[in-house]
Amino acid sequence: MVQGFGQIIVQALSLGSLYAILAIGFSLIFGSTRVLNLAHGSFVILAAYIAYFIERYYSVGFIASSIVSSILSLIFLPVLEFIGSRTSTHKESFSLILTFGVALVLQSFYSAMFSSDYRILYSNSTIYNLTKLGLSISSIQLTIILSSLFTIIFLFVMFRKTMTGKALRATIHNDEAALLSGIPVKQMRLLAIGLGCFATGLAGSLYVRVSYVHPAGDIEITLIALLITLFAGRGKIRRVLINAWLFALIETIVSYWCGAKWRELLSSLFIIIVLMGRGEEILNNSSGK
Amino acid sequence: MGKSVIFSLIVIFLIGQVAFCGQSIVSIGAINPLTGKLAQHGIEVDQGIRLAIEEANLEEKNLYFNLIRRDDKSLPEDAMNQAQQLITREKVVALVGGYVDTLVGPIATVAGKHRVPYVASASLESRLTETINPFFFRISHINGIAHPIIYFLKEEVKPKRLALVYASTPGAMELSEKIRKGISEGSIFLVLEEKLRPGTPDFSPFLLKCRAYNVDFIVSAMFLPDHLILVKQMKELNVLAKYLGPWGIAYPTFIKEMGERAEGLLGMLAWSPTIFQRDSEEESSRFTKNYSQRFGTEPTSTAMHGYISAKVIIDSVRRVVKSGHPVRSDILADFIRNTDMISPMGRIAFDEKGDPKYYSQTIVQIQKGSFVKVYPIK
Repeated sequence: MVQGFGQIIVQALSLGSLYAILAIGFSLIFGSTRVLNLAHGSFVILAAYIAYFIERYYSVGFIASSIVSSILSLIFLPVLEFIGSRTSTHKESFSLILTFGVALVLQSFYSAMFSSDYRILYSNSTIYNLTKLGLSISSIQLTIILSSLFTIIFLFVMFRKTMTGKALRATIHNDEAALLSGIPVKQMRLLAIGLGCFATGLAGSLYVRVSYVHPAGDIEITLIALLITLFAGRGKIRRVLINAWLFALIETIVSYWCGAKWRELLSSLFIIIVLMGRGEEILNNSSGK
Repeated sequence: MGKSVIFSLIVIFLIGQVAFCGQSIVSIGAINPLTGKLAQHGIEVDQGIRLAIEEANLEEKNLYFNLIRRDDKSLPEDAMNQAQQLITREKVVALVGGYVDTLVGPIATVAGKHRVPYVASASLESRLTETINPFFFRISHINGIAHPIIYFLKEEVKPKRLALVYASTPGAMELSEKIRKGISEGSIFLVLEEKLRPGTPDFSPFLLKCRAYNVDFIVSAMFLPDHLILVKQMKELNVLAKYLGPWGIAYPTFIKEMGERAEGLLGMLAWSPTIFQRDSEEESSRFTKNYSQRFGTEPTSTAMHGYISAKVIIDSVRRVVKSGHPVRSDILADFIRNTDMISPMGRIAFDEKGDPKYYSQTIVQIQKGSFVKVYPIK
């Protein structure tokens, strides 16, 4: 029983870390630009395709493929900057419509470019057995947990300890006040979008290792990112990881003891509760109120 | 510029008229999920249909089959709209195609309302033919999958502790219900049953339960992408049970993605380039060759379903023409009902509900990257 619970914790940690890594890019971009990016899942899908093809056909490892897909994900920077700068009032509503359009275009583009086949990276994963505890963890699960931890710690240290990070935080909290105090808000936004795109690239290269990639597989990713971000709060990077772990733990425990059908219900309830409890607060904050 | 465009259009139109001169044109509508979640299999069905129509047009001198293809985007409301448009605007005499019951059902309803025959390529659920619709026919049926699984479990595998996981789709739920009933009288102990949404991102709670219950055989009525994750997590969590996936395993793309980790998995198919009905070797080989040349990939069982469903309509239209009747929807439906042909998938004939009389799939195992028939052996 205890062993079973230990394994549930391992699975939940791994799943939660994946959720966190999927949400970080979304959270950074939403925090700095107030763009609710419904094309986020499509961006992750592209990064996943890039990682897939690089690893499959050039036989490179995870680090190389994740660097390449992260760098190539920067192509979305101008798109997001354009959407962020085009809309000044009711930014969230405008960005929802615009990015939904971008997601549709990208979905068709992926179908034409990569076909509708389902793709997954099946790299040789080492299984580490902790026999005394009756636990096992794969190298892929470890990679996901460490990657999300590393990304969160990097961003946390940057936000707290560097001048650039502090300026970025100020921009996220109140861009008008930041501008008045001499912070180059536009550059800070570009930096946040760039970091967001980079994190999205990393998310894609991890995602294709644990789940399949498909042109129409973006909606689930966007929903997870949106849910975790709203749950954590705008600009709260550290909370993204903690809340993602918490969400995954509840999901896994409910699935194990009550059955998978309750998982769906739980997720739906969770979305409603988060939107009821925090939706208005987040949107008000983001409007500078 | 404008004049030259108009002139070109007139020339193209006249060429078309000359080409069709003396030929009777029969319009057939095909609706499949060409984009969206079900696109991979929808495209396979569509390609099978296209090949059948192209072959027929090469063979025919006095008859031209005009195939009008539509994409339902894997959405039932789009499937319904496309059916409506094809019947009322394009005046098709028959509809063909369709993948999964949630998309086939709406098309069948529209076709029945307008009295246009519809031959569904991949539909399983019994409920669809409970109310008799004289214009609905299909070449597959849930019993053709459920019965081989039940007998395979009872006669061959005889698992001690079975787990059943299935997608929350009508076909998968009915299949699991039939399996549950079918094994209830034997010595097989169903220790775990789980219904999951297709596209579930994490199967580990289910697999941890399999481990806890010492499950030795898993029947997974999920789909290809779900198998990709489920089988991967099975290896990671060291779940050593045998695994049968009626849908999605017996596909070259599955083996391509999984590589050697697919070895030993059990799947099901109605046809493959190496597994086909006796007496149909020539047609089967021709289909494999033509399909590979035309689309650059190896055909699957799903593509063959599309091909056969179109062949049923083509064969029926030819018989209508031969009989001297006009090719009208109601007359064509009568001729489809009397279909009796041998195909690479077996004998094709319909009962009074429009269900296939002889449809049955084969259980195969992936061995050295190929499908090897394991049940029924004869």
